[in-house]
Amino acid sequence: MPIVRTTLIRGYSEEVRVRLAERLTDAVAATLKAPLDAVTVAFDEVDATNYMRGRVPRTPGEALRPASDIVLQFLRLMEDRDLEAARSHVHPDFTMVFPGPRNGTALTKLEELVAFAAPRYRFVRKTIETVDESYRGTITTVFVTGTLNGERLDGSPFEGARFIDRFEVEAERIRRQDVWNDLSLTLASAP
Amino acid sequence: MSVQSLANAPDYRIHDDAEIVRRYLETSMIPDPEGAAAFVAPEFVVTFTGGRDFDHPRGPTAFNAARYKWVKKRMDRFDVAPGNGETVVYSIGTLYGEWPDGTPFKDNRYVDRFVVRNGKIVKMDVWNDSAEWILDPSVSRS
Repeated sequence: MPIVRTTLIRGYSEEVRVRLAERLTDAVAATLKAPLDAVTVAFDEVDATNYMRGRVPRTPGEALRPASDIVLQFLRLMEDRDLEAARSHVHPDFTMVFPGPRNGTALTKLEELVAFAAPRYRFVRKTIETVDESYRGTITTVFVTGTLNGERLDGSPFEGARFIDRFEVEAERIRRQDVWNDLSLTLASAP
Repeated sequence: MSVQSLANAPDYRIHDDAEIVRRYLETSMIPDPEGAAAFVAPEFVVTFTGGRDFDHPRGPTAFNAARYKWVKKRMDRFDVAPGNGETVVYSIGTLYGEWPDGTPFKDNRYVDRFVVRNGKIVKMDVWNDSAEWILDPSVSRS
């Protein structure tokens, strides 16, 4: 019957409070052998005027944008080849690892991905099937799976190439992207 | 909740559902598909690279026997995503082994996605870079 009570300064949106409650529930469920139904989370909200720390009144801190929202927006921008907007979501030390033999193909600049794609296909679009978040400390790991469709260099269409992308997101910036897919198999097969 | 650990370090405490996945993978790699079947639910489906579906751990074992002389996984980490009534567990690392002609390989990236319900694996999805090696003319396998 674990009960988690958390004091918050009033002002966080309902969406943020629901997200926080889900994560507190997950932390308990992954630590104690308690059924999910037995885990209770409750927030005590206090007005800012009823709250002081270090002799200083405080206001609610900002909530982070959900890591999966950032990732899905990044993927859309990359599909549209809007590199400048996509770049605003990545950390300066951003690394991408795309399919390839011997530990994959490591890229550090979004332009390198465009160059990597150029000899392979005309364009590619994602149909997303699942989005999962895993988290530890300040890093949220986002997994996106689904299928790829698009056009080969000769203009013939393809579809149904399975993909999975793994992202590490910290402080609203993508630090790392790892990509696996069946694209080579699909592109090698006759249209 | 995420457990990001060296799966091969036996003392490291990992999420219960990640432990089920780790034991399934270790048993599969023996290879002991009948033993691995103890960790899967009756409705189990595994989707391999290229979208090939199998309904028993025997399927991947037979597929691997045709593709590799032998293959094993170096499990680098698990990522765990909790959900309502199920847990999604990701195993990430590299494959190593020998191609059918005996040429060794290693550093072949893989990720497996597992859906675990009530302590049993109901779905497994497999991705790896083996096709990249097979299609790469600079990779000598003869």
